[in-house]
Amino acid sequence: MHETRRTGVRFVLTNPSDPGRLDDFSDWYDTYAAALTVPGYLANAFRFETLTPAPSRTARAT
Amino acid sequence: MTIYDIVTSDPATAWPDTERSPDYPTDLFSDPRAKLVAPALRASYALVGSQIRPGEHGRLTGIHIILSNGGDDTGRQRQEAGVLQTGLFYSAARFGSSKDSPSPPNGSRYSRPMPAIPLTRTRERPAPCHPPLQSSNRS
Repeated sequence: MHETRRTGVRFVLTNPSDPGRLDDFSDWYDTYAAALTVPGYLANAFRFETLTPAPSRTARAT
Repeated sequence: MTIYDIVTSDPATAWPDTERSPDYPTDLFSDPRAKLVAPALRASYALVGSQIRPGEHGRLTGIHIILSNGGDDTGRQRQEAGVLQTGLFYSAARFGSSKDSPSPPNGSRYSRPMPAIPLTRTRERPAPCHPPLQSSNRS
């Protein structure tokens, strides 16, 4: 559909509203991020998470 | 943090076009787990600098993201200039949080340098292309 060369990036910072359900959060977001590439405007989704939780409200950015 | 590669000729429309697409995964929001996601920042960066030149886009080989709070714009501009002077970066773009400031000066809010937050790739799922960084499984 579209060219495959990267012309920009989109980045999104999110936190789990319930840190105790991090696996559920990640499972859902993995599925969502992958599905966002289907329309063809975004080619890849790479997810990162903090190695060490920070003490602030942005304790876990994934 | 999630980074998406935009691959359309008009990067500014990539996200709205994705949201409007019939393939947008609307059904996933009926999953109760969707409520676990609390977005803190969403932004898109397009290769605007290369768009004003004739011919094709320059190649984007990577991005460096700094999140910071506080400080003033002068300090941020100084930091930005220093980074660009290294010659390793083509351009710098600053974004502000719309929650904190609906219309930040120069479209940006900047800060004193913050210590780098170590990040690691989460466990992988279906990324079609090669990852730009070394990945590691979260669990």
